[in-house]
Amino acid sequence: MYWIVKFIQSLAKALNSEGTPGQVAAGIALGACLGLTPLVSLHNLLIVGLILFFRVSVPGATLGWMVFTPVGFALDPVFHALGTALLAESSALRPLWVALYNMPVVALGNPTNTIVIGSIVGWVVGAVPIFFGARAAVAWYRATIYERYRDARLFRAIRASKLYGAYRLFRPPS
Amino acid sequence: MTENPSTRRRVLRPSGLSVFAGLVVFVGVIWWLYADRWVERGVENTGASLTGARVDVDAADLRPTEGIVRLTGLQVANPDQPMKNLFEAESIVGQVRIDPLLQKKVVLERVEVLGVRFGTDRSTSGALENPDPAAGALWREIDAWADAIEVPELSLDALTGVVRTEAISADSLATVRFARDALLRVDSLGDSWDERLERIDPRPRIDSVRAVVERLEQFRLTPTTALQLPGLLRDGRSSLESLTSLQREVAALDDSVRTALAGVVPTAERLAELRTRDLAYARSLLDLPSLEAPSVSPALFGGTALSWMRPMLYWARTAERFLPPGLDPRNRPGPRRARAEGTTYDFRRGAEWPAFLVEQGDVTLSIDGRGAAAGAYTATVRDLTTTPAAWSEPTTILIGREAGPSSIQLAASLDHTGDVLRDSLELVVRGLELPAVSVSAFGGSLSLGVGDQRVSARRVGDEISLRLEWSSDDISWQGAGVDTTASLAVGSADWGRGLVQRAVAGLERIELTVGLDGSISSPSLVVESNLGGTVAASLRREVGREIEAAENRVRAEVAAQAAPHVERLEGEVERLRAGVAEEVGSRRAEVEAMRARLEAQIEALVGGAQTEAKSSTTDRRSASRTQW
Repeated sequence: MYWIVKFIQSLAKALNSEGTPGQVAAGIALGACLGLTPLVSLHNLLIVGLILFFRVSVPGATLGWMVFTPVGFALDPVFHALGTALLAESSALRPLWVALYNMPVVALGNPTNTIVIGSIVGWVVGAVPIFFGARAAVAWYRATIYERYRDARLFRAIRASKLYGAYRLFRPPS
Repeated sequence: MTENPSTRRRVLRPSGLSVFAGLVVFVGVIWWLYADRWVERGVENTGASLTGARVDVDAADLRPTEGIVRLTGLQVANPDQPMKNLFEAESIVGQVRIDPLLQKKVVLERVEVLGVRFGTDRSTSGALENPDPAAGALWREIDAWADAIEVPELSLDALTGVVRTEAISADSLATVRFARDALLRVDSLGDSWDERLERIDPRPRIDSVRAVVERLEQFRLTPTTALQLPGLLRDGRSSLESLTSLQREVAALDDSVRTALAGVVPTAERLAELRTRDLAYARSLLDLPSLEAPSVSPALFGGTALSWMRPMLYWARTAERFLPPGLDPRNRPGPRRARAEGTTYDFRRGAEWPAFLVEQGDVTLSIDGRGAAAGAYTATVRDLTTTPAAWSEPTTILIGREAGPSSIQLAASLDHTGDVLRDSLELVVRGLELPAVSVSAFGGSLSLGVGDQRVSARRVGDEISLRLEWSSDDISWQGAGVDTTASLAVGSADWGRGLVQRAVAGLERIELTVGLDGSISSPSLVVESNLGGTVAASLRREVGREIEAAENRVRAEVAAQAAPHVERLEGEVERLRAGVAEEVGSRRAEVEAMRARLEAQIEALVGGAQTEAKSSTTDRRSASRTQW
């Protein structure tokens, strides 16, 4: 339940924040990498660095991470198959993998693991559609739904991050 | 064109860099706090997958700035005996190269292992809850190999009672089975030859030739019939060719009969071979002990040898698993995590460093207790790596003794640098307290006392040759005491124990060799001992007559069961041969007779025609002279 509440908070913050739709969409696209690829990986440290250093929406990145984490779990078999095809069945790419396998620091990121490489490639391929899709969706949302309900009590409550507190007040005793 | 600073400010978030730096520092601190624990867990998990049993480390101390890792209190459980340690080490100090670490490669420039002890007791079980499936599969494979090896039994029970030959079944005798099969083939050949004889039935052709011969015989050469002569001669010669063809067919059939029957009739050598097999089968039913030394040694020590060889075979195959030859990419399960593990590929060709390498390891070993092997040893390991082909230097291990009454020398080379494995190991230990060897056939065990042990192993590709040799001058029989002077029933347990006791007492030195030969996936077991020869000689001396009599009875029974079948076969073959010979002979005689008549007639006609031609010429000359 906690995660559902946090998710709704992130959703509201991302969509209603002051960032432009492009910043939110970039955040979602970068956050998708955290969700689609194994989280505790070296490349994700770099992604976090990019999220923080570039003026992309951090709530958007959080939203992207949360949305794409279950997608990542569901797509693991696909990523494994993709990674196997790239690592084991493509002789043209062999020099690239050998170079990555022996490259200082990069080798620590486990670049020759089927899930890691399959999910990174999956994210790279999906990042651009995710960005443009998210940007269009955010723009549409702000022009329609947000404009209509911005003063609604529920929206205000979410913006004030009180929803989780309210949930804690009413949740059944454990 | 200069960049607008306000645009850069819109794209970048400089404050985020400091947050990121803070995050990196935080990750670094966490790593610093838990690195020792992670190293400890890493060693325990890797060791467990390597040995198939628990590996425990009391503490790990990682000093990255100095490149030193120190492990204390390492215990490696014995997968065969979970309450014992395979070995334990007080401390292991490794000097780690930092550059390869950045490539995720562990290269230990130097390792010092102190206080190694073997076979120590554990306070908790070393069995794994979820053992490595690959290690389990390997054990199952080796168990299946061991189960498939037939260790001969040395049972003397058959000597005590009446030799019962009823168990010998004619259906199981190779000679009888051969004779039955051969009889079926003789029947089938008989049918086939009848059919072929019918097919080349000469009667119509002989009748046709006879008609020609009769026409030739009735022909009278006159000036009026002279014109028929060429036609008659042509018919006669054509019939002659037909007869020649018929003769060839009959001769071919005759040859075929002889050849086929020769293949059916067993030769003396074949019969002897079948008889030998039948005798071996009959003997196996009666459990008559073989008195040959090569059979007695495996019967005495085969079971014990198998139990020694199983772990040696396991470690030989494990060495291959963890030190694979060649440079093709290998795959292994990825790291454990909430997400799927996937498969991690190791691209070893062109790698600067192997995934794991010990450039030099110095090990101080000690064997506790008061045994002859107790003492301190030093061992040096060089170029031990999991990617031998990438390192191109074979692994060498040398062990020497520092203190103690006995001597030990070990030299090993594991050359996995090419596609073909080339391993060799030579271990010689002198003055070692050798274990007692169970001799279940005689209900006791043989104490080998203090002696020498030599282990030699050689592997090229999949072929393995492994020998464990023990020699001792200090042997004694351990078991229930037997009054060797008393008269005991031949074949009884006490009699057997007494016999071995006397054999051992008369032996000044024992030499026992067990080993493996052949393919590493299914090698054959080798067991040799001079005790086998001595026991065999004693058995021959004491029960030779009984065994000989029993064997004679078995031989007679086998012969009695097999002989009627062989005789019947020989009779059938002879009958068929005679029948076919008679048929073929009569055909051949008839054809020969007809051929003789035809040739005579042709000759007569040709002769008559020439005489007539001469006389006609003379008459024409006389007439012309008269006219002139």
